[in-house]
Amino acid sequence: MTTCDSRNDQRDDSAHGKDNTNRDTSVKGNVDFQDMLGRQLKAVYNQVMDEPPPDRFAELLKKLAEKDGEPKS
Amino acid sequence: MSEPDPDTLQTELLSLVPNLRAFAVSLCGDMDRADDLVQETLIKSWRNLDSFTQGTNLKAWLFTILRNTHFSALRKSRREVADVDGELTAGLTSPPAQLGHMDFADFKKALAQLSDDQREALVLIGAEGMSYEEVAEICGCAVGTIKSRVNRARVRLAELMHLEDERDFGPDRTSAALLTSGAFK
Repeated sequence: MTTCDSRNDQRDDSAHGKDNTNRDTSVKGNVDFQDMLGRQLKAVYNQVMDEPPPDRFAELLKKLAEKDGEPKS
Repeated sequence: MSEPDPDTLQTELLSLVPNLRAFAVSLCGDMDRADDLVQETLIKSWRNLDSFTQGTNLKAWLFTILRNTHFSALRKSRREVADVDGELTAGLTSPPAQLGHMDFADFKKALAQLSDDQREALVLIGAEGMSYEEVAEICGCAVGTIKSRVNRARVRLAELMHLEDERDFGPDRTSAALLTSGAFK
């Protein structure tokens, strides 16, 4: 999964209570934010993954297999 | 050497086409080019089947062919068009279109701003779900290199998204964040 690495835990104490003022420097402390980024990343990827691929690829593979001279045709 | 059964192989290759397309888009950012890359990958893989060991990781093998094809074409075109990077950084100065700190379009934009190396590692680990070892093999580098690329990619993505969120960012803040993220050496 994409979420936290060990680093995410280290700054928790110092970051506590200063949520609004430290966004620029302590990105690492924000586990939830990283979690959301991970989910966004998967969403971007799956958007293409879930699309049915164009027929050209099935046709191409069929042609390649036939060209190979396998006893098919 | 046992010859792979062409029917089985055809089915397996076809079943991996969605993964190849998703990976290809993440590399080149364009669906048409991505499909061309996938097509090239399928042809190359078919022609070089004898260099693939049956029973080993077909997906990793195909991903290797695809990214090598992409990056060698990219190197070639960068020699011809020198200012690809300049174009990318110019994009940074345009104001964010939407508010909402997890806006999907903002995320895509931020992802596109990562370096090729970082984006590739992040996508393979975080979206494709490969192991660090697999990705290291695909990219031809050490496991530790992949780990640090993924870490840097996550930090920089977060920074870019925070910048998007703050709407009124100026050039100074942008370049400051990019500099601390190590984007420019």
